[in-house]
Amino acid sequence: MVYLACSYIPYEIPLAAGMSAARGIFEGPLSAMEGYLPRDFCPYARAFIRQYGDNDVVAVAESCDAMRRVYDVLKYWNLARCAYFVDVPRTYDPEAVSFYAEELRGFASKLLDSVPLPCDSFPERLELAIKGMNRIRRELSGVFDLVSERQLLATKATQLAISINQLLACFPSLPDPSDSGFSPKHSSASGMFDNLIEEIKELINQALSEPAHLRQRRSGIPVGVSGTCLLDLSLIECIENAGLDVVFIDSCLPSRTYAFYVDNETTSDPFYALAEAYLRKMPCPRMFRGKERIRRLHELASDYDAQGLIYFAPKFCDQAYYDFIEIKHGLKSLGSLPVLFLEGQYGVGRAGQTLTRIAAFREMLEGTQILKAGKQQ
Amino acid sequence: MTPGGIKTRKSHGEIAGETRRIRIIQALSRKNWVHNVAELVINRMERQGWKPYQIDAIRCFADDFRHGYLKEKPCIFTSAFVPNELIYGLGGVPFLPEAASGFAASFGFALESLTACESLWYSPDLCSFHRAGVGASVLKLAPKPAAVVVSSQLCDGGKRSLFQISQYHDCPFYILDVPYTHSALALDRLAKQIEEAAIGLERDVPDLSRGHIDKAFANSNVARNCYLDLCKLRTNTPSPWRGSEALNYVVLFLWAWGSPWLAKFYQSLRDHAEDIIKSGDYPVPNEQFRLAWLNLRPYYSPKLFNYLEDTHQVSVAFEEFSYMYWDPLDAGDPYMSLAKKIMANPGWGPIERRLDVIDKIVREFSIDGVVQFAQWGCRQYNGAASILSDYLRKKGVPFLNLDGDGVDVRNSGEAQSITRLGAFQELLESQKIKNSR
Repeated sequence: MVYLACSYIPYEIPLAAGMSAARGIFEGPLSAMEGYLPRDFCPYARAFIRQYGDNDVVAVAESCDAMRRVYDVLKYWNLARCAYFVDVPRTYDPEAVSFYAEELRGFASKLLDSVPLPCDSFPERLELAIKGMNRIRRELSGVFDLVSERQLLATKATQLAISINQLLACFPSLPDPSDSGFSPKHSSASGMFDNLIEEIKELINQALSEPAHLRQRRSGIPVGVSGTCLLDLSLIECIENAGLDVVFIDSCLPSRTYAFYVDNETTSDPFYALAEAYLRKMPCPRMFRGKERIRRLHELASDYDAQGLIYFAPKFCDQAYYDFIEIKHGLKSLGSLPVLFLEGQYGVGRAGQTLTRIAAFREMLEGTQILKAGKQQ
Repeated sequence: MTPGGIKTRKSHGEIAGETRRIRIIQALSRKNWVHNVAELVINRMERQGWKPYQIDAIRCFADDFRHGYLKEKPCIFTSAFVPNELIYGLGGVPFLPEAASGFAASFGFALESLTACESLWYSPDLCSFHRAGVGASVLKLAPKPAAVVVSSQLCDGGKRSLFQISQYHDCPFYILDVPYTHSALALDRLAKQIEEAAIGLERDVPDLSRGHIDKAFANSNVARNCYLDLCKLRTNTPSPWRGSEALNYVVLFLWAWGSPWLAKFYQSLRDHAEDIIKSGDYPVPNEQFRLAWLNLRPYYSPKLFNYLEDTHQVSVAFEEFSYMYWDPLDAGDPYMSLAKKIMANPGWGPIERRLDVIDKIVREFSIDGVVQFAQWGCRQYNGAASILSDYLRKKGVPFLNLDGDGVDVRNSGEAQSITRLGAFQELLESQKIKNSR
């Protein structure tokens, strides 16, 4: 399986190479691995440090200082049989897209070296993987539209996104040619995503068929959530338990992984199409795209009537610390959207302190609403 | 405007950290007569017997500060690893807020800068060199930038904090998005970005012109030759120059490539080192051990180094940040040449590149032990501590990862640091005894 360390690394490439692929989602750093990185390091980076299986591949992106060190540690200490570095540009312009397309081509070629896939079938499989992932993204975007319309709890939708990530982790990879059951038919591309998409639809239907009181609540004040990486579900649960309605989540998982579309109709080069789409999507705090993040967050907040934003930074995440300052002041200048800053480790939402701060934020938002209502009268 | 783009506390009064003495410095730094007086003071220092290289270094900064504060030349803020030949080559002067933080700490102004920065929601878990840089900019301790240029390699905080400074001053911002992997494509892309930044700066900032590039490259190459001579002299045992002082001048190494003063400075320093070796008047005369120092140092207090150099006669023989890693620049192909310089930085790319350089330093400078100053908030260097420790242990070189903070005295555990350095010195001694048996 290919563990992806960043939402800018396309699932499509390992899937087309016949390897299962999933975003690395962990329950936290392993205590046995504490010595490899300092304690004052981002918990997501520390969680990535573990002994991977012989068949596992880790793809680390040039996300930040911490993830570069993760790559070094994995390689130096032989914690992963294969660790690949994907050099993701920090800018979005035609030069950056062309460069990233070449980088992705190189990534594909490295993966193909380690799988028994006939190289001539890869382009066809990549086209199908792009289409397949577009369909998956569309399904999941539909789910988050329901969150924005407050017909589904964000906890449920995020759990669905995590489940889909797990399904991709179990996506049938190519069998080893040395296995007795190996048949070249396995490398056939047609229909490779159909079963998976059926399973995803079933998962979504299951979630939506729950009784309304279990899957939706419309009484809370609508808020958005932003940050670099959510780490786990506990924060979203905590926000919803505190009586606020989460109407959008701008984070690696779900939105920056699923809320975009790869247009492979306008170019004959699928790598270019992937590079273009992944660099164009809602920028992550590591990107340098001027005020694009502020503009998009403001749009999300306006579209879904969010009354506040909860910004979560994994402890020691420098990208988030700097991004928060830009977001806080930027949103204020565009219309005084209050922002609450929270930082923490895995399980942050289970801390009483977090609940207290979110409850205080809710009280502040309620107070603002009362004041506004008073002025209108 | 605060970083992010809104008017905040300034409209209501003082900025946190803006004390009376800060306001005085703000005002004085922008007065012509103050810079004239500074020149007289430097002349007097020269007459009083300050060493020529010290005077050259002070003149180098005084010259840039004069141009920057009085707006005689466009002042371009850059991050630590931008090749400043580009800025001098355009006829501007560079200003490195993160390097200037070291100055602020030495002169006791860092706390105000940090306070100003923290009042704008910057986390104290961020590197204090960057926080103090932002604070100094907000407090107007730093000159006003005409533009900001950053390179994306090595350090997230450097580029991000400078982006926010550019927002604060509402000035043009250029990022050199440095590719991680070495390839012809990567070099081409970077060279093109440098050229675009140069064209953009020439277009957006009055008084900048690419006509000075040949001169800046020549200055840089002359300084490089003198510097390499100095490095050879520093392999001498005992060390001809105090490492604590060398770590102060790392600021110049990061700042002044392309300035005419840098060549003078390294010439004078080379002559000084030669004189020391000839006379035998070494700064650490009974040198017991030679250390390589990784990353920076605490700039607010000399105690750690006094303890090492004076109490225990342990020299810091060479510093990682002083390592010359690039080839001579080629004015015939300036942008590609600068791209190669950026990409040659051993801190960039896989860790093996950094390990190779440390290995070279250990061998060339007869190093007995390696100390990494683990600057609080520095993910770039601290993240490699486990690897460094293992790598050096396998080579039989003791390694110490010394936690601390170069700028923020509130994070300083000076007594603990001294205890750890003492223990490290004992380890070196025990190893010496073991080897002698």
